[in-house]
Parts: sequence; C-alpha cells; structure tokens
Amino acid sequence: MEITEINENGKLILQLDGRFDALASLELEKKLGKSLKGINELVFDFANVKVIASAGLRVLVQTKKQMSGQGAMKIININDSVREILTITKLIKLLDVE
Amino acid sequence: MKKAFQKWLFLFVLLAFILTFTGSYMVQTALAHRAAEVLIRVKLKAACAQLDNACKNYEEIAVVIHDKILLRADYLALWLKYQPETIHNQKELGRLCNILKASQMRICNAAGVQIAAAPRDLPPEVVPATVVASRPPVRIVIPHKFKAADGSYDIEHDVYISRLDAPGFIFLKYYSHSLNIAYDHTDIKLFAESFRIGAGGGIIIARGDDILCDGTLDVKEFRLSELGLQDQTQTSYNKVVINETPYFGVSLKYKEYNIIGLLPLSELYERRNQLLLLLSVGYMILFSVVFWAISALVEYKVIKGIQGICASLNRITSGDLYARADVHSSPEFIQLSTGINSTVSALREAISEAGRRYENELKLAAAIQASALPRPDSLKPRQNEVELYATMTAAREVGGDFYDFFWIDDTHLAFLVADVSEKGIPAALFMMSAKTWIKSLAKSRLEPAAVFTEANRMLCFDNDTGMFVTVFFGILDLSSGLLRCINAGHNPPLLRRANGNYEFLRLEPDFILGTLPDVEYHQETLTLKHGDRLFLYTDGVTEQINSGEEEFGSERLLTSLERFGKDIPEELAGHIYGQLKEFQGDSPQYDDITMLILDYRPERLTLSAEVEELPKLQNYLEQVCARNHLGEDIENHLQIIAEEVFINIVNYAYEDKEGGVSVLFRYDPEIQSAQLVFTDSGIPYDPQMVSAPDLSEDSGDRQPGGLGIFLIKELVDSMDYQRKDDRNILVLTKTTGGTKL
Repeated sequence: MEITEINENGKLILQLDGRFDALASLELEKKLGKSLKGINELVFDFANVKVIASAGLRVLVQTKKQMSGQGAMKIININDSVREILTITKLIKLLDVE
Repeated sequence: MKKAFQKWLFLFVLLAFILTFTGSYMVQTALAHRAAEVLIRVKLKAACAQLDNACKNYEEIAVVIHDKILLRADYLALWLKYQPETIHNQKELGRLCNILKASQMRICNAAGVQIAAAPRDLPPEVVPATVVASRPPVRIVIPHKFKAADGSYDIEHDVYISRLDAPGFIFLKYYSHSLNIAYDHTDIKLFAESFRIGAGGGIIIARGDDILCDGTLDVKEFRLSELGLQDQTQTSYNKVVINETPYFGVSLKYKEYNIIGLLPLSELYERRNQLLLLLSVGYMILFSVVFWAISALVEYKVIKGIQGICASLNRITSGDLYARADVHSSPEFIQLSTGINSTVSALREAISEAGRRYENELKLAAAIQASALPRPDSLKPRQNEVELYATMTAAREVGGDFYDFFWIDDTHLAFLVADVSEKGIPAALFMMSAKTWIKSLAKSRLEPAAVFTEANRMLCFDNDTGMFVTVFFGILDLSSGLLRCINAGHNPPLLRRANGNYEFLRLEPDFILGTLPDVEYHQETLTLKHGDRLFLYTDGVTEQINSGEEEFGSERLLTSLERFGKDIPEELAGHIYGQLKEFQGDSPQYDDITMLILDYRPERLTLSAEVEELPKLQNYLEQVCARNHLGEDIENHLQIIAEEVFINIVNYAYEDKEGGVSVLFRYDPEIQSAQLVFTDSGIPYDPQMVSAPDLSEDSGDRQPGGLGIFLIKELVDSMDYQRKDDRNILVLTKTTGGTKL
C-alpha cells in the first residue's frame, strides 16, 4: 500500500492506496509513530483502499485512541467493501467515518 | 463341370464304340465262317462232280476200249483162221502185235496153255481156269490193275476169246493210254494231291478213321480223330489245328470217303480283318462326330445354363445376396433360377432380421459398456487440482478395453487403463467384473498391491474362458503428489514432468490379472509435481497397423506426443487419435483404442509462516479467482479470510520457531462454492473455540485486536477444523452465489 502524507499546519491527510492488510498496517504504524506529533486533525483518505483486514482495523483503533488526546480523526471516501467490514465490526461510528 | 460331363460322355461313346465294334466283329466272323463254309462246300462238291464225270468218262472209254479190244482180238482170230501158219511165224506175230497195238499177245491151246506169243521172249502165262471152263465161244475182257514202274497203278485189259482156227484161246494184254489217263482222273487220291482251297488250304480224304490222302497238309501220320475231326457226323469245324496252324474245316461225304476241306483261319479272316479295320475307322469318325455334336449341344443347352447358375451362386456365396440367377435357356433352368432367387431372397430377409437383432443387442451391450466408463466431469469438485481425460474407441461395437477413475476419499484419486484379452460381449462382461473388483477393493482403502492380489484371486475364480486382463493402475494423493501404481502386464505409460519431455514410465512389470490365482502383486511409488502429466494407453494405439503391415509403434507415439504434448488433455487425445487414423489409412482398426491423460496441477500454495509471504497469498487468490471468474466482492472476502487465517498462523502457530503453511483453493462452479484449506504443523489451534470479541465498547475501551477470527466467522459460510497427523487442517467454505449480509 502506498501512503502519501499531506501535512497542512497540524492537519495531516494520509492518502492510502492499495490493500490495507497486515503488511500495510505495519508500515502505517511505523509512519504514524513519527508523523503524529503536533497533529490536531488526522484524515485517512480511503479513496484508493480496496480492502481492509483486521490488522488495518487494529491500527485505526489504536490511532483513534492515540488521537483522542490531541485532536480529531476521521476517515473519508471509503468504498463498499471497507464499509461492510467496518459495519460488521461495529467500528463505523467509533472511527468517525464520513 | 464341363470337363466332367465330357469325360462321362467320352466313356459312354467309347463303350458304344466297343459294343458296336464287338458286334461287327462277331457278325463279320460269322459271315466269314459262313462264306468259307459255302466256298469250301462248293469247291468240294465241284470236285466230287468232277470226279463223277471222270468216272463216267472212264467208263465210257472203258466200253469203247472193251469193244475195240474185242474187235482187235477178233481180227487176230480171223487172221489166224485164214493164216494159221502165222502161229509159227514169230516175225509175223510180232508185226501183228504191233498192228493190233497189244502189249502182249498170246495164243493158247484149249487147256489155256500158251503156244505162241509176241513179243517173243514173253514169259508164259496160262489162261485162268474160269475162262477155260467157260462155254465157247469165249469173249471175255478182264481189266486189271498193276503197279507200274513209277509206283502208280495202271489199268490193263486181259482179252480172252476163242480161237477160230483151232480150239484154244487168244489171250491179248492191252494197255490203253487214253483209258489210263481217264482212269487217273478217276483217282480221288491223285485228285486230292493237287487240290487247293485258297492259298494255303487243302483237303484231307479219309476212309473211316484212316487218312488216305492229305494233299499238301502233311498229316498222314495222324488218325482223323487225333486231329479233332470226326467221321461223317459233323459237317463243319470252326477250328482245326494242324501243325500249329489253325484251319476252318468243312467235311463232305463222297461215296465211301470222307472229304474234309480245310482253309487256314488267317485266310478266312483276312477279308474280315480288312473289313473290320475299315469299319473301325468309319466308326471312329462317326462316334467322334457324335461325341462332339452331343458335347456342343449339351454345352449350348445345359452347361451354359449351369455356368450361369453357378456364377450367380458364386456371387451369392461370396456375400452378394442381391445377385440374381437369370438363366432362361430351358424350362428347368427357369424353374431353378426362380427357386434360387426366392431362396436367396428369403435368406436375405432372415439374415437382415438376425443382423438387426444382433445389432440391437450389440448396441445395448455397447451402451452398457459406455455407461460403465466414467465421464471426465465426474472428477468434480476437484477438477482444478487434477485434469483428467479418457477415451475409448472400440474396434467392434463392444470392446475389451476399459478405463476407470474414481475418488477413494477427498484427496486420493484412483485411475486405471485396462485391456481384456478378447473382444465382444464375453470380454465386456469380464471387463465389468474386473472393473467392479478393482473399484470396490480400492474404495475399501487397500493398498494397490493388495487390491490387485485380491482382485486377481477373484478374477481367476470361475474364469473358465481363460480370459485375462492387463491393467495399469494408480492411486494419486493430491495433497502430496504421491502416486502409488502397479503395472499388471500393461503397456508402460508415459510421464512428462513439468517443462520436461515425455518418457516411458517403466515399472517392474507384474503378472496379468485372471490367470494365476496365487500371484502377489507389488506396487511402486513416485511423486508427481505440479504440471506433471501421465499418458496411459492400450496396445490398440501402438499396434495399429497401416496398409504396409507396419505398426504405429512407441516411437511414433512419442513423436506425436512431443508435437501435441502441450495441448490440454482432451485435445491431445484427439490429436493422437487423428495421427492414428492418418497412419492407418485404408486399413481397419484392429484393436480398441484407449487413452487416459492425467495432468497433476494442484492449486496449492506453500508459504513460510512469515508475514512477508502475504503478497504471495494475495497473488495466488487473485489468480484463482480470476481463473474461476469470481467477482471482486467474493475476491475481497476471500482475501480478508485468507489473510486473517494466515496472519493468525504466522503470529501464533509456531511461536518463535519457523514453520510453513499450505493453502489450497478449490472451487465447484456447480454449487458455486469456494473452499480454502489451510494446513499447518503448528500447535493445535481451533479458531472455532475462540469466543467473539466485545464490539459494544466505545473507542476508549475497545481492544484493537481480536477481530481476525471474528471477521473470518462472519465472512465464511462454514468452517471445519481437524487436527490430523499433527497438523491443523482448517477448511473454510464460502458460497459465491450471493454476498453474505
């Protein structure tokens, strides 16, 4: 999965492209560890995410927890497949999906 | 036919010729005898008549001579009466004797004693007493015979008359030449001496049994009876042999004589033989003409007809039941032709009826046999792990070849190709028996060697017909590629390794099935890898013969396989069959042609239990989904399911050790069911036992993990876990007909 970071004065937009699988989760976890400092708004752009696995969900839940102390986090542009998974796991509300 | 007839005709004509010739011979012989008899009799009668005439002539001459002698004696008496002195004149007496032409002249006294004689020195002779005693005047002439100097008898007359000059007698001896000549003519013996019948024949004159005269025949030393001739009782003799010469004889009574005229048979038959020779030539010509005429007539009227009928019959017996007999040269042939035509017509009907019945039975048998052969699609649902195609083309309606394949369990596929020693319905029955035994024994999970040892024992039992079957049999474990196989006297199959060449798989051959009940069979094992192909066949492929009596052979098969070897099994079988037909040309198919092609292509992916292997798994699923035309939604679900299971194994199965994971995808389009089978050798772990995570907590308390198993359970239709052979086997089934939820 390709990850593109757009940092606009404390607002970090992460454009994800590909499969949000276990490997992608590891990569994203690494990236977020460095990039989340001073960020008060985090946006995951899922426009090009085909599919998400439990590893991805775990990263999203973890990040949400981390962001709860420093700002908002939302997910935009999810496809039906991702929506289905988020719905099954009842994370769609928790993760503030637009 | 014609020759036989001519032979018989020739024999008959020959017989007729012989009979005719014999008849002619007998008639001609009888005629010759008759003619000879008549001839001889006429000659003999003529001879007798001649003799009679000679006698008469002699008698007449004798009378004349008698008178003449008396007259001359009278003259001498008168002379002496008037010249009595002459008695004493010897010279005068001599002259008188000459004048009177008497041979002796005596003058005797009354006592008959000679007193004078001429010629002078004549020995004295007396007048016989009877004459002397006779009453005068005496005039007596006595003829008498005497033997002449030449041995013949002559007649001489003694004349006694009374003297006129004195008592006494004049005694003259008078010899008449003419009389003696006439007398000679009356001598039958002399007559016989010069008498001839034909060129070599003659007469025999006999009195009683004594042969008086034999003419030229020289039989005087015999008696008449010794010659087989009888005295007077028989008038003709067909065969009298004298001095080794056969004669024909006719006898005739003449006075006290028996005159037998003899003609040599050679002369008698000479004319007959000439005539017979002439007749034989004539008969030969006649009978030849008759023979050829009958022959030609019969050939024209009968043999042509028979040959026509025979030609029709030959066509009929050589199989042309539509041939017709059409000979109309006589009412008999018309009748025969009609009879043959109606018989053949009835026969044709009967044959075609029997043929239809037999054909139906064969069709039924062929249908039963065909139904016993499994169809390739019966391999589902694991068709994508192994592709198998088999075909059997029987040389006759019902063949002796067969093939079979069936699942023993989920992972073990059994397959075989076999050839029964015979063909037709008995072979098909034997085949069914062999197929049933092998299948039922294999299904009971026996090893191939045990299957064959037992199946062989069963097939030997009650096998009175002496049939046997050659089989190549294999059981393939799809999960490992392990092939256990056995070759019971069958052609070696060909194995093509992935990216390799076709090579003959030469196993240690085992004995054919159905002959020796106590044979132990031995199996061999080899491992098939992804992409390997097995090509099984029967000898109908390699032993097909072309018009040049040449076999298709292993080399041609190998060449054809190299040429078309990359085609899918069904097409490959079609190409090989095409090659066979092309090779075969106009020759018939001699044997059943059977081929079985098996491609081992497991859809199995083997991975290390490391997260870095994940893309391989994803890639694999992309491929199998694309291959099976599964939609994006299904693929996404499958990707999630697979990832969750895989990551779970990576994280927990082997703890800190290295390990592997095997993934197998199966898809059955008929029931639209996809399966994922995960196998690992890690610690026992049944995901079904994992309890569901609490999804109600808010973000603050919500645990980030634990969703994997939950997602799997949510996305699959069924999940099956087994712990087997220290392995975890997890089978996940997803129906593709509609997305869940």
